[in-house]
Amino acid sequence: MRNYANPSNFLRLTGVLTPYLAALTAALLCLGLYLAWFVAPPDYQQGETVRIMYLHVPAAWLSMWIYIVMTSAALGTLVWRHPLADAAQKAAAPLGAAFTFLCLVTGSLWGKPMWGAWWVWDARLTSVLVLFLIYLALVALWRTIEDPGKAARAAAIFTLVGAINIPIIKFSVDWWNTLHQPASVFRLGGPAIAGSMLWPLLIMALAFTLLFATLHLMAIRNEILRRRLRRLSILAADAAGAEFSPASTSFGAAR
Amino acid sequence: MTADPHFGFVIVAYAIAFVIIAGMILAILRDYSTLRQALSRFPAGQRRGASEGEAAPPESWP
Repeated sequence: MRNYANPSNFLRLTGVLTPYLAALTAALLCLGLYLAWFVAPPDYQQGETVRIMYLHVPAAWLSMWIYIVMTSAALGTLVWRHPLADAAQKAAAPLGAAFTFLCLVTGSLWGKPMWGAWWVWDARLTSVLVLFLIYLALVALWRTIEDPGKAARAAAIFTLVGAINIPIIKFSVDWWNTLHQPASVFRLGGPAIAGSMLWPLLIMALAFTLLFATLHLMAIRNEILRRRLRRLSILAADAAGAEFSPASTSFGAAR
Repeated sequence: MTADPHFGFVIVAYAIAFVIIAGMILAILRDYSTLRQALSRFPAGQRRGASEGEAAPPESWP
């Protein structure tokens, strides 16, 4: 593991892993979509609208999972000072924002025909909206602070504070009386969903998770290259500055 | 399937998901291509030198 803390080694590993991960993700997505559309039956109450679940639930799980990954990376930045932890955290934030946005939009499209409303200020919906805003704030934070070290520490602290929202999202349906349904897969009495619907859902969830893993690796690679470019640009600027410093410049007076 | 009165909502949800996922993939690939192009302007020797100091934490850390 320590060996992959070296960005050059990490880049080599990413180069090898990415094509396999991308192929596996594509295959699982195709299988999941086939099962969700042509094998899973319509719900006896919701009809065909239940097919939105195969997008909404994996996106919702990922929105929280990505934040947990970012929280671990924040600890890696602050406690262990792992050189890739900050890059991993920064690369995950836009992906987390995108999956949370997908969760909110598909939830809204599911809610309108089932609840009769695009949006309600329900505890689950509101806490997920807060998560989306936290992701956007983190992306903005990295773009606002120019110094990468200061930005990394500020973002890591902000991420750790924001982590309190994850259990709130998870247990909001138990703690408050919400319009959103309670957990139907990960619950004490076992899944409250028929196997014909559960398997396509789990395969889509696995496909989405692999999609995130692939995109995250690619985004970390980009972050390493961006830092390399920054370092080279600073070195080039320093070299140019030394060349044109007052001591070495004659301003043409001796001519 | 298409006879369901709410089928349009399902189609729109999948269309939006496609756009968001394709957008993420394209944005990352475009970023990678731009970075590679920008890095290729520097000589190979300098690029190797820049990669050597990367295992350390960011420079402004205490």
